[in-house]
Amino acid sequence: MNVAETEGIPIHFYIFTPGSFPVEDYPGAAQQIARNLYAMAKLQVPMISVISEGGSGGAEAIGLADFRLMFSHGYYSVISPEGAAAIEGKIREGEKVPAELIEACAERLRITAQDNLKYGTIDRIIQEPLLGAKRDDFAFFKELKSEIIRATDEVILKTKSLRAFRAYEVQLKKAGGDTTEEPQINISWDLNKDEIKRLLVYRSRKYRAMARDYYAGIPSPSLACYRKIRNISATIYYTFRYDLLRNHQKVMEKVIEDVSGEGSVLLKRVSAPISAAYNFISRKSDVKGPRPPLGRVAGTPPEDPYEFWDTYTSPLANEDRTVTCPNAEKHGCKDLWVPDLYGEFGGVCENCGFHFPLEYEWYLKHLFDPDSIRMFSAEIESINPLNYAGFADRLQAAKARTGRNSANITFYASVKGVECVVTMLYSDFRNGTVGAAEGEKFVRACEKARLKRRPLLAYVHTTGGIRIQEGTLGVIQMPKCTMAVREYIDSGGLYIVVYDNNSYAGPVASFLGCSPYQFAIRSSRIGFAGYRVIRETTGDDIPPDYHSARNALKRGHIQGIWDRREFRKNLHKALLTMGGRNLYYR
Amino acid sequence: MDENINFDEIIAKYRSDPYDYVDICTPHTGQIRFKVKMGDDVNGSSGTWHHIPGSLLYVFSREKNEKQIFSPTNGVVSAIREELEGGFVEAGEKVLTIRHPLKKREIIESILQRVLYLFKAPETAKYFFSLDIQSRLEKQGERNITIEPGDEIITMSLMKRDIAVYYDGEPGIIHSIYFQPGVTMEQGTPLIGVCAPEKLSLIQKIITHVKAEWE
Repeated sequence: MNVAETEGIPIHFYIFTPGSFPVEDYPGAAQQIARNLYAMAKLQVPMISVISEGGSGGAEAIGLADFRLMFSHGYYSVISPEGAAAIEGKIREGEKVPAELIEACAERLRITAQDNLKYGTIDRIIQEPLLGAKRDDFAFFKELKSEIIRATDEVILKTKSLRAFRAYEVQLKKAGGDTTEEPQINISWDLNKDEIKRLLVYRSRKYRAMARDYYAGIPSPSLACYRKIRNISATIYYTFRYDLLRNHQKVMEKVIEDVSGEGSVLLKRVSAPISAAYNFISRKSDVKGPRPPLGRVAGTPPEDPYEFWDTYTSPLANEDRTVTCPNAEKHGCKDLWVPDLYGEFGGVCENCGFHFPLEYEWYLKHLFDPDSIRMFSAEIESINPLNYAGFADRLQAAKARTGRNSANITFYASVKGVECVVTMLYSDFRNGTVGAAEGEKFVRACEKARLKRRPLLAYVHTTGGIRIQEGTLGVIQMPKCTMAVREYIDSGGLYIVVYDNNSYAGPVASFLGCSPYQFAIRSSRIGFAGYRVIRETTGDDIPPDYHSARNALKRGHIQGIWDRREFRKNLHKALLTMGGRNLYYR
Repeated sequence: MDENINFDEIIAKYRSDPYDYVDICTPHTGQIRFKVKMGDDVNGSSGTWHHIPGSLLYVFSREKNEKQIFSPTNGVVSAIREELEGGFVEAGEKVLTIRHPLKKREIIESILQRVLYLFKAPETAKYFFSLDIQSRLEKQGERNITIEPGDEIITMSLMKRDIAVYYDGEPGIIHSIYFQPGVTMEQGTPLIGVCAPEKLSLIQKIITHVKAEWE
């Protein structure tokens, strides 16, 4: 891809994979997919991808293209029907999955080309002969070649200024279907700077609009109009405040600083003999005033190191029993009494520091300044877009139980006075799986963070991956959200990801894994595929601590492991010291 | 040669009763509920990293914390204190005995432990062979190195400082090595086993004897 970008040659991707190879060892499947998606989001050449067999994340790794084609007899799915059947039927490892269940799941997942075209995840179908293309079907290959060239032409033409007639001609070709070797229309595949810019804008718009109709909470036209006006005025305000005024202010500050620096040195030089004479005459003994405490800038109010707020009791702490720390054999931890463990100790074993899983409300209370959380996009709801049998009830139950509409919570909050935008995937709603609604909320959070020049924190309490009941609409969130992240980081933002408890699969392989700053809470598990999937795919057994945060750190997938009780302090330090030249407080 | 008689006695003992009786004691106080009966077959932990636990022996609960106790080895339950079922037990109380059939390797190991002079680790630290012994190992091969009391045979790496450990004990040949260089050994665990050169042939005879007898 780098070579093509340097040379300015369009790229054609052919996707023929049942999925990705799920081992975590360096460089790591998830990390490579994330890196690919991040690079492809703003690659400066046109890209076309053709899907023959597309297995979820592995296929999407090279699927973020300007035009997506698919063979009529191919498939593009979020998970194989066998995997979905094993999950649905709660089949244990080693048992046989009933064939009818596999058939039913294959039906429900909507993996055919026609379904994908209907849901907008691909742009065009290439028709294969009746029983599918065979290896020696050279007529089909000729047709494939012309289809791809036509797609490349279409993508390139969109970026050109003079295109009316050629575009019409390319449109006409579709109906004709006679394939010839030589191109009949003269379209240059070299793009100049403006055309490349247009290409990137079209790509961004294409992925922003994916899965647009598959979540609820779209406002009424009047409300939408009001929101639009509000957004435009907000954009104007923030541009004025941060780009114009702030830059001006920064320049002024720099000038004043320089002048005062020079002035003070000059003054010292001039007055040195006078002050020496004065000191000699008066010969006052040095009275040392009280020294300010180290590390504090004079004039700022002293920080309260204990920060006693309203007490929050975790609901887990209301049982009267003891639990054993899993490290009891190794470190000799005594049994922990639950009210102490989840109350005072914050879910941390006092002997070895093992972190017991804690609910997400604890983090909402303890991480951010009190009363600083303001939710937005809360009306966006997850729905059942594929009409997956039996899923609507479970979704409704999840909404009733949590009181929220999706697995992603986005809000503004402040951490020790630093304002930031936070998106949180939590476990109670469908195990934190990502679907169309969650992706949309995430993209909106990126946009808001970019608008207001705030850092973006993605705190992943739990994510089980992509919601399989939403099929490829879930998989398409991977490139969509990665594109939003790329734009946010390119505009000078700071994107920090913190993993907690179980963080697996899709999101880790896309919009979470592409962040330059990834941290984890102790005792969390981060990975791409679970134990069973790895065993069934590779046939190898893997050690029980394969997905531990410590191993992820060893492999270089994350940059640090934080203690839950130090999370707030560490996050504040990270926000002040790391990345993002375009943040409001720089 | 009274050592000879000793060996014959040992072999006769192992022949008559080739079992190891493993006592299972309670780790702490609590209420016990047995999950096996007398004469049941139990398995030890399995899997490459011993991550699949052995058979469930009993469930132990204290302050509503249920803990499952698994079997450490395979074998047959030979003694079980049924009268304690469902009741309160103190810590360290012997509740089960598993009769573990000894394998050939284990018998040889236990005989060697008794017969060889064991040089124990003075501290919990990492141990390496000294350079002198290392070179002799490479040149002469195993089981050919004679050591005398006062030789520096092992280097102990304690808190990143290397200290020479001098051998004290019977002069003889290094027969078996019980440590891996660079792996921490607890204080008091045997590091090497030494036997006198005259006894070496005898020991080899015993080992072949045992290997032939037991399959």
